[in-house]
Amino acid sequence: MILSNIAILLDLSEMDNILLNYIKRLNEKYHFKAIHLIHFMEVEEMPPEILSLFPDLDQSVDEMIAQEMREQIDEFMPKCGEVADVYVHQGGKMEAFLEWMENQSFDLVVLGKKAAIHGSGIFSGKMVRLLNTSTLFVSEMARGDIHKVMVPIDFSEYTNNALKVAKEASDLLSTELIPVHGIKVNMQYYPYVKDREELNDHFIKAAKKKYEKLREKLKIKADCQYFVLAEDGHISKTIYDQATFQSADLIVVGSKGKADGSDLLIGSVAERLISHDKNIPVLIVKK
Amino acid sequence: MSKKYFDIHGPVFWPATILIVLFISVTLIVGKPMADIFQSTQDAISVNFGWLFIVAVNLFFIFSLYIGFGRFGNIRLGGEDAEKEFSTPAWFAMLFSAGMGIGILFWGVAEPVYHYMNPPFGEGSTLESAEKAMNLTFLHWGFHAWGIYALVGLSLAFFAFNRNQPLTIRSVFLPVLGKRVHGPIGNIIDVFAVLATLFGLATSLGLGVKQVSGGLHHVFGTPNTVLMQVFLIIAITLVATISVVTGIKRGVRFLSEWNVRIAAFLLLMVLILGPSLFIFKSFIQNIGNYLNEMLVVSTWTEAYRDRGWQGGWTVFYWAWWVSWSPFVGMFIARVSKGRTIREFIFGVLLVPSVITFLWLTAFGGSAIFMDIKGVSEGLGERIIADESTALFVFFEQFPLSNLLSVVGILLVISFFVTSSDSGSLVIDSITAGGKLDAPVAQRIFWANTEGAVAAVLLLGGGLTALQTAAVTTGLPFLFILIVMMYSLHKGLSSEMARSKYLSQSQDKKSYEKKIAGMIAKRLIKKEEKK
Repeated sequence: MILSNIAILLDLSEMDNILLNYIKRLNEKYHFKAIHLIHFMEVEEMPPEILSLFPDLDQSVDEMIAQEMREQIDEFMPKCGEVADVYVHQGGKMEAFLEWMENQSFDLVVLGKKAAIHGSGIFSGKMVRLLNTSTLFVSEMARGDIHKVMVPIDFSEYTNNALKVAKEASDLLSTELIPVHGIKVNMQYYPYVKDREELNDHFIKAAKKKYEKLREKLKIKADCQYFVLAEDGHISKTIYDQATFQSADLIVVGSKGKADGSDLLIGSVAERLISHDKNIPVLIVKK
Repeated sequence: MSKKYFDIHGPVFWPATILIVLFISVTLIVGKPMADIFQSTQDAISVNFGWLFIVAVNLFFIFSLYIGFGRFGNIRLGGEDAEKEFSTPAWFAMLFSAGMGIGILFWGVAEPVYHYMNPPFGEGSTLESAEKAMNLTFLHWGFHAWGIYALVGLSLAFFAFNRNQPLTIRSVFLPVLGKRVHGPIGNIIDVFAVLATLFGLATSLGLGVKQVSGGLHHVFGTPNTVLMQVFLIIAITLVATISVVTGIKRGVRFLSEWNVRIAAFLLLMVLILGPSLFIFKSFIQNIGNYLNEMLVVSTWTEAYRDRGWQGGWTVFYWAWWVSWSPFVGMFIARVSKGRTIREFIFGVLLVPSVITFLWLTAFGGSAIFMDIKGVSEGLGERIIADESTALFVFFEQFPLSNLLSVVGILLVISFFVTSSDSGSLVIDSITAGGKLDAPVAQRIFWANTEGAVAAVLLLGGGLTALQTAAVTTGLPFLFILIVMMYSLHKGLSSEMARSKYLSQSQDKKSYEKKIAGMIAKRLIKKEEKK
């Protein structure tokens, strides 16, 4: 299994319930080896003026948080008690927390993505960009029943891994797998071509060839869908529109595409798919 | 074995040790034929790959400037909050001593005079050849040489301090090789670095004591014999061992600082006692000339008329600096934590170059001036007759010449001690798997190994042979350095992106409010239970 040791980052907001419920549903099929509920304390210490409001506190704040999370396990994922544990990271230092996360070698980090629920999303944004671990963004509309998994591919070095993860998901959850490939034709490179359709067909054919190779290698049954983009359109828009149109409930995407350099932490497609106005859960696969 | 005394990284330590013994035995036993093999390899490299050295070294220099003064300049080695381990003067003293101290003592007088007497172009011993001579010497000792060190030092420091990798050459390949750097490929790179460093150090130690012994003979008339030289090696190794035992923050720093002070004193004496006005005037003119001619001299490849001059000089120097760069680069990296990249490039590339220019002008330039003016008959010839006594022949023209010579000898010795101890620290760190402070016993082992190798080679012959072998490692390292540029750029790019996101501040107030809400909720629940 590619995904077996997973971490859920909880922030003690209402979003937590959605996350835990989602993972509970996944776990029914996945049977994860370990599920870690993790909370990062964003402040070094709670300010005394707040603590003074609770004079008869018999526990430290981090213990309370840990206990709160343990109760959440009992409440939302009662059957996961054996594989689940909780951890509260103290100190308020983002860099130390990132280092700790890297050392745990999780296969997947699950984060909440909020649009309506109050919260700035800065924390999630940092985690997905700064961690070397695959990340699942669960939006607040997500309920955990997955019927269609869409996986945008561009035949870059990330495509293989994204396909593998998507295939595992669709096998385990017995869902439909929809690989999609966007083709962008810059007409200015082909000033002498009169027939646009012919050119499009040519590119689709070339992409098909590549896909067949991959398909054989990874033993995938599903056919790939090909979309020719409008001149000024961004590929992420096409993907998202198609996902909505075909009512996909999970998008699995490589963290970087062909054209993304080392000064980007995640590629432009992944970046746009997780932007706050998008509602479909996205799993970003790192190397 | 207890980790307290020995803490080695086996896959690097043992192959390195065995290869060292093997190499030395072969060099000693086979003798002359082996020396010929090394020499012909070296020749083949400079004939066939000279152009590559020349273009690569230019690239390193331009790349260093770009990294230092472009958008990466503000990145701090060791992260935003890293503190400096050494004061700026101590830092500078150490990197200068490790990088070039000994070389400019050895060649500072001899090289400019040599080019002036035997220029690659035109007539020797003319005004024109004098200007050209300073240009060429500046080229060999200036920005390009320090650019190589800056590249290696910066890459190592960045990956060690900002990416938490062990301080060894292999770490630089993290963006290229990924996790494989911890495997056999990484070990091979490190073993290689150990060999290049140890042979480079041991052979320059061996050749260096010849200069000291020659100097002593010249000034005091002591016997200039192999026995004397071996005795000197033992003495130098002993002091180096003491310095290494006390560690980088005490012995090495102390000696480096004194090196620079003594060197400054010597420079000052030459400035005062020598042709002061000429030195000041020509210092400015030489720099101007050099900057003006830089593009021409640094890209000259002897393409149209090949007399093999460049193979013996420019390309030899480039190969030498490159083969020396794992050692100097690692040492510079070791002491540079807490500096910003701009500070680093300023301190490792620009400042040392300018100081070197002043030194070369004061020493070599004055010697040329004296020869042109005919201050002393045949001065030039006597200087280039034996470069190991060049400095002392030059001092003869000065009042207090004996004092200057003694200070000069002292300086040579102490520069050697610093090379030896910093070299031991570097090798020790590589063979311990990149630890910054490996156990003392291990440092003693390496300091003594260097001395022993030098002594054995001195007694058995083969110093020059092994030095040639050390320089030939310049070619493989040249490729390593080219990859390093790519690697460093990639690392810095993602560091920039990371720091952009890390610096985004989260809303602490609303977090505190959230936690307070949770506490309140829990307390209420508890009350209800009661």
